[in-house]
Amino acid sequence: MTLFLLFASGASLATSLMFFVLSVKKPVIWKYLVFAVMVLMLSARFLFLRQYYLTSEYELSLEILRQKTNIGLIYFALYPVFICLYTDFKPPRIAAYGFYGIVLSLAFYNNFSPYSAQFAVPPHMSLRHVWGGEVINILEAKDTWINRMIDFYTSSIMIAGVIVLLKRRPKSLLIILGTSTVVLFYLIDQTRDRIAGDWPYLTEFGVVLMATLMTIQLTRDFREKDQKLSAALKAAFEVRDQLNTPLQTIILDIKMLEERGLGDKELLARMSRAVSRLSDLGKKLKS
Amino acid sequence: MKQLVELVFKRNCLTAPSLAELKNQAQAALGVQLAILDVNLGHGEPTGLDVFNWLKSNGFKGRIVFLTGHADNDPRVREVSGLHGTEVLSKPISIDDLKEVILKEGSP
Repeated sequence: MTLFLLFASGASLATSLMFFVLSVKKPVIWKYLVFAVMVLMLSARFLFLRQYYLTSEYELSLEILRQKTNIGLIYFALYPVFICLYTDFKPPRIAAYGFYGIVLSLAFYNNFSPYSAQFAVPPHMSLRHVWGGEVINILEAKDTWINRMIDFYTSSIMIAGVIVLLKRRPKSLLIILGTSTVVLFYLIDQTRDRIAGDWPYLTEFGVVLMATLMTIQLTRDFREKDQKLSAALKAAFEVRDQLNTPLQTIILDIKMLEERGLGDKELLARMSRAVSRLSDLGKKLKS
Repeated sequence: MKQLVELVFKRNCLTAPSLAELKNQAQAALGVQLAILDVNLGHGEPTGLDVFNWLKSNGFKGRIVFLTGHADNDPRVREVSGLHGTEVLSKPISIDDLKEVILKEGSP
C-alpha cells in the first residue's frame, strides 16, 4: 500500500511537470497550469499520506494529517477554478467570495484547532491491516457535526463541479469522466467513514485516474491541433504557390505598360506597390 | 516575358511553352546564351528538369536559370536546386532581379 502511494506520487509529479512545462510558455494556458498545480498537490498529498500511515507517534501523525489537509485544501480551492477554466463558466462573484471565505476559514480551523480540521474531538491511534498484509497507523475519533458539515460542504462543491461540467458539456468527455470518478470516489470515501468500512481510501486514486485521462486528452488535443495546423499550412503554401505565377505576369505586364507609355503613371505606380506588397506577403510564408 | 525582354532589355528572346515546342525549335534554342526554365510546365507535362536534361544532352552551352512559384521544399524545386551550375529563382521575380539575370550574360 505505502509502496503504491510512493509510485502514485511519482506518477502525479511527472504529470504535473508535463502540464506545467506545456502551460507556462506564453501565452500561458491557465487551465493546464491550474491542473499542474492540482496534480502537484496530489503528489505531495500521497507522500504525506504514506508518511501518515507509517508514523506511529501520535503528535507527529496529527501534524502530518494537518499538513495533508492543508494540501487537500489547496487542491479543493483550485478545483472550481479548473472547472470554470475548462467550461468557460463564470460563477457569480458572491459565490466565489463565499467559497474562498469558507476555504480560508477551514484552513484557519485546520491549523489552529487542536486536532486539525479532521477531528473535533481527541483522536486515538489504531492499527489497520491493508493489502498485502501491511499494517498502517491511522488516527480515529468519533464523528461530530463539524466533520459532517465539512464533508457535506466539500461533497456539495465537488458535485456542483460535475453538474457544471455536465451542463456546459466541454468537448472532452474524458474530463467529465475523470472528474465524475473523483467525485464518486470521494463520496464513497465519505460513506466509508460513516459506516466504518475497511476498504482503502479511493479519492486520491480517482485523481490519479483523472490525471491519466487528462494526459490522454492532452495528447489527443495536441495531435488534433497539429493536424489542423499542418492542413492550414499546406493550404497557405498552396495559395502562395498559386499566386506567384499570376503575380509574376502582373509585374511584367505593368513594366510593359510603363515602357510603352500606356496607362496612367500614378495608377501603374500604385498597382506596382500593391503587387509588391502581395509578393512580400508570399515571401513571408517561407517553407 | 518575351515582349518585355525584347522591349526593355533589347535582347532577342525565344519562348516555348513545352518541351515538345522547344524541340521543334531545337536549333535556335540550343544556341541561346541564357535559358530561363519554369520548373512546373503543367500537370502531367514534362517538367523544367526534363527540359534541362534535354538541353544538356544536346550540348547546350549557355547558362540555365530556373524560375519557380513553388516553395523551397517542393520535391521538384529541391531536385533542380541540387543541379550543378544552375540558379533557382522564386517567382515573382522583380524587374531589377530579372534585369540582373539577363544582363549578366552580355549582349547576344
